[in-house]
Amino acid sequence: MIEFESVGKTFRDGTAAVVDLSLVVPTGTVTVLVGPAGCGGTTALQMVNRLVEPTSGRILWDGSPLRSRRRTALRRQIGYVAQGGGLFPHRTVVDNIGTVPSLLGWTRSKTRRRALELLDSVGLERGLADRYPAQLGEGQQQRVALARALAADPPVVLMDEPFAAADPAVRRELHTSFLDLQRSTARTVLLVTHDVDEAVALGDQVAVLQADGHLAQVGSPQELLEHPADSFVAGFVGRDRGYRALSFAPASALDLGSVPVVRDAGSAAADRPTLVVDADARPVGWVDPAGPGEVRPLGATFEVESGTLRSALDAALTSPYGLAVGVSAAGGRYAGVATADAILAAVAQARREHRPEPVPVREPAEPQEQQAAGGAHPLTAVPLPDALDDAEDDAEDDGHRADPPGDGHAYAELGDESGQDVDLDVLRPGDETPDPLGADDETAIRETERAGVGR
Amino acid sequence: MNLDWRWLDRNTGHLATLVGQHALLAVVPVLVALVVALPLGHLLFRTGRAAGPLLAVLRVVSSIPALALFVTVPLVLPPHQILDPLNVAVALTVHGVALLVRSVVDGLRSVPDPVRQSASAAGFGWFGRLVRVELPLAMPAVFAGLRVVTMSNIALVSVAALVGSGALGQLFQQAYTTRAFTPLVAGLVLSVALALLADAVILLVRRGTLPWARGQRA
Repeated sequence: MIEFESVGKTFRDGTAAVVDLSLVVPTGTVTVLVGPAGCGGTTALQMVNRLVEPTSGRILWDGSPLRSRRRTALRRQIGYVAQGGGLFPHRTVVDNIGTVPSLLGWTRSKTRRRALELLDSVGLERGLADRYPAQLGEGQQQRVALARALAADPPVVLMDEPFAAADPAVRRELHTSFLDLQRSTARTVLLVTHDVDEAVALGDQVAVLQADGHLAQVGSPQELLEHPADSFVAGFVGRDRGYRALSFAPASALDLGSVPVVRDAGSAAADRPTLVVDADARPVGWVDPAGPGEVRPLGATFEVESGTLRSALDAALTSPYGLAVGVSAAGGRYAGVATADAILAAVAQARREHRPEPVPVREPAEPQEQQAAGGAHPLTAVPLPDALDDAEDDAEDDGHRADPPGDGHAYAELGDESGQDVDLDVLRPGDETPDPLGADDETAIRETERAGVGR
Repeated sequence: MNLDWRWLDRNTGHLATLVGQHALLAVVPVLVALVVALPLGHLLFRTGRAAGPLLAVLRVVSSIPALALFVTVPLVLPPHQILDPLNVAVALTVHGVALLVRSVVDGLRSVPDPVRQSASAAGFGWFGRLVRVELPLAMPAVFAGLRVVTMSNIALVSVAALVGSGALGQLFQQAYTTRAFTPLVAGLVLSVALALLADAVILLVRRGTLPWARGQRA
């Protein structure tokens, strides 16, 4: 545990980088310092390994003040990822990673073995071991920087905008690798970023710093998004914080509808959305009504078991038919579809469960006129379909997604009641719509077999 | 204006000696200057803002005409002859230091902050950081300085012929006084050959010692 006790840092030129910072970084968790440029995050970070000394207050590590430790000894126990990686350009990848171990006096072979091990765990090929940093891509360099910070297995890791230089796709991969590593060995991590999304994605605890170096708010990412302490935090976490907050709602609460599924795009009737899947039942795209046999791009998909409502809503918004395609986490196989309305209804449901006070809970059977009459909260005014009531029961029964009738009807009703012009036929189970594939079309995967497909 | 091949043939041994002298007079001051410039450059780099004026002083030193230095050095040094080759060596060393310190400072300044921070954060002490990280990274700039200083030294040694020693420069004097064409050409060709050889050696050493900087501007 690292404790900042009213720590301040005023530089010689009079700039106050950090002002009266009191913060506890609990052991084994990720604490993110986030704020606009000049918020003092980097300074706060560098005070922990004493690259910068505070001008007031003190910092304790497991109860003892940092000042009581020798600087070099302290630093060898704290991993550090500098802005942009800070790799040594004149040292090979393994030598970079082995920096701290060799300073600690490990033997050459032990250091190299450890470095190769770390290459594996940060997802780099061992073939890169003897390259120089300049011969690596941006993302690879950042992985090496991470590996170097972890080399001597430090209990504390400091990261200064570790992923800032990577493009968004690489950054997401780096986040995943980082979280995997953190899950396997829970270290005390203090990370600085300017990116709220990154803070929310990585932090167990997020501290928002103001441009003048004051701490504005500390809390879990969810708390910050849902209850920003003041207008600065609210403004900083952004206008779309409501959308971001969907990251905390699991997609497993959704009930899935179904669409006809084919393996061969040419074999489908083009009169309604029909999903094309490959031999392993992974969705490939939609049958294109304009060009028989053609496949329209799928858009994003979401993972049914582990995904979030944010990913589901995104999938719905990017789908050509407004239908989010859910896939299984293992194997990415088609599991069902959901409309944006269904997703919003699930959001409403989640809100009712978390915060009953500000939102009047109504029976699902209540008249719909209330919504039209100006319910203060459009989301919560969406009626609660039966299927959503059953969501929790269903969650225990994995088989529920294989029962199209109930689900399909539930979505049909939802579509009607919320006045959306979704093509309801799409959501009806197979037994109510003609099978477009024909009973003896062997390439067809009957919707009623989806249970088998999903497993 | 034909080359006097017989002269060349007769003087092969003499020419070889002159080339050897020339190389020694040019290269030894470079090496001495490097040894002096590394710590001096580091000190200057550490002074931060004060480095600016000090570097300006050094620039003035490096712009003093070589001949003036050759004549001044004997006045400053303990008593010995004005025609001693040591005068030339000392003058060229001073000249080299003035140029190389700038290269060392530039090299140290080129080390990116995150790299320096990473070195400290890894637990290097200041000396370890300097020797294991900062100086190696300053070397490309230092090599660039070495090339310039070596080239200019090879040229300046010839000028030193005017104060007595001067290796290949003696050939130019000889050509001037005897109106002979061949020593002039021999002196020119050998000077240029020596310069090219020295440059090639520096580049080879750079390649061998800085494998990571391959492809960067030398």
